[in-house]
Amino acid sequence: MLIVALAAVIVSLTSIVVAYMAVMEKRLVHSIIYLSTLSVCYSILYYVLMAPDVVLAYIPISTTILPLLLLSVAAKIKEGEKRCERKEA
Amino acid sequence: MKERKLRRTPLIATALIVITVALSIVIVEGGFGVLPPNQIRELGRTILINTYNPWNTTLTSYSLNSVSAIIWDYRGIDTLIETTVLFASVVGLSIIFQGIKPKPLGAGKGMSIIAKTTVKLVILLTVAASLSIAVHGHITPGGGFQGGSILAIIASLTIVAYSIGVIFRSGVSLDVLLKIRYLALLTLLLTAITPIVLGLVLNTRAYVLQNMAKEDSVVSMPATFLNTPLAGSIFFFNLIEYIVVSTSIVFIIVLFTLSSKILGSKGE
Repeated sequence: MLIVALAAVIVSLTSIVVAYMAVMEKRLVHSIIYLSTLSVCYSILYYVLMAPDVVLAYIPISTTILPLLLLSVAAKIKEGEKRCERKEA
Repeated sequence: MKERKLRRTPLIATALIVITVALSIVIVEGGFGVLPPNQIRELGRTILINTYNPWNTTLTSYSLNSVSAIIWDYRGIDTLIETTVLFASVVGLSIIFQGIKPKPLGAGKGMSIIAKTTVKLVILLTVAASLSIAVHGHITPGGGFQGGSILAIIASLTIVAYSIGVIFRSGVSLDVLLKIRYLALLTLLLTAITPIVLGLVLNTRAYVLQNMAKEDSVVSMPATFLNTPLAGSIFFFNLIEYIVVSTSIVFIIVLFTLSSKILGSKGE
C-alpha cells in the first residue's frame, strides 16, 4: 500500500513538471510528446485512484488519438507556413 | 541567454511542485472549508445495493458493473444527451469538410517491415480486447465508449505504420463510416423505444429507456441469456455505442490525416 501511495506521489509530481514543459516548449512536436507523457501520468493516477472505467477510455484517446490528431495538424500548419513564405518571396 | 534559461526551468518546476503540495496540504487540513464526508452518501448506497439485486426485482438492473448501470439504466437520459454531443461534433466536422472526395494517391512507403509486422499483431489483439471490453461492459470495468475508442486505435496505427491509402483500399471510405454510424444511432433509438412498442402490443404501461420491470409495468428486457447475465438493454446499448464511437473516431482520424493535396483540391 505504501509503495502504491509513493508511486502516486511521484507520478503526480512528474505530471506537474511535464505540464509546465509542455506549455513552455517552443517546438510543437516536442510539446505534443510532453502532452502524451502527461496523459500517461494521468492514466496511472486514475488507476491508483480506483477509476478503471475512466482509465479504459482515457488511455486510447489521450495517449494515441489526441497526439496523432495534433501531430497531423502541426504538419499541416508547417506546410501552410512554407507555402505562405514561398508566395511572399 | 540559453544557459540562464536552462538553469531557470527546473527552478520554476520546483516552485510549481512546492505550491501544489502546499495547496493540497491546506485543502486536506480543511483550510478552504468543509471537505465532503468520508462515508458513502444515501444515493450512492441505494445504487450500490440495487445494481445487482435479484431479491428486489423492481429496482435492480442486473448489472454487476454499477458504473454501466448508472450510465445506461438509472441515468439513461444523461447518456443520450452525451451521445448527442459527439453526434453534433461529427456532423459539424462533416459539414466543414463536405465535398471532399478522397482518392488513394498510390501506396505510401510506410515504416520498416519490423514495425509493420508488429502492427499486424497489435491490431489482432486490439480487436479482441476492445470487443471483450464492450461486450463485458455490464460485468467488468469498461463499456461501449471505452471499447470503441480502443478499436479506433487500429486506424491510427495503420495510418502511421502503413499509409492512409491502405485504409481507402480496404473499402473503408468516409461515406461508409457515416452510413454505419447513422444506422447504429437509429438502432440505439429503436432499442430505447422498444419497451413502449411492447407495451402497446401487450396493452400495458411502459417507459422510454426502460430496462427491467417496474412496480407499475411488467415490460422487461432479457435479464439473462443462456444462464449468462445480460443486464437487459445495457448489453445492447454497449454494443451499439461501441459501433457508434469507433466509427466516429475513425472518421475524425481519417479526416485529420488526409493529405493537404486532397484538402486543397476542394475549390477546383
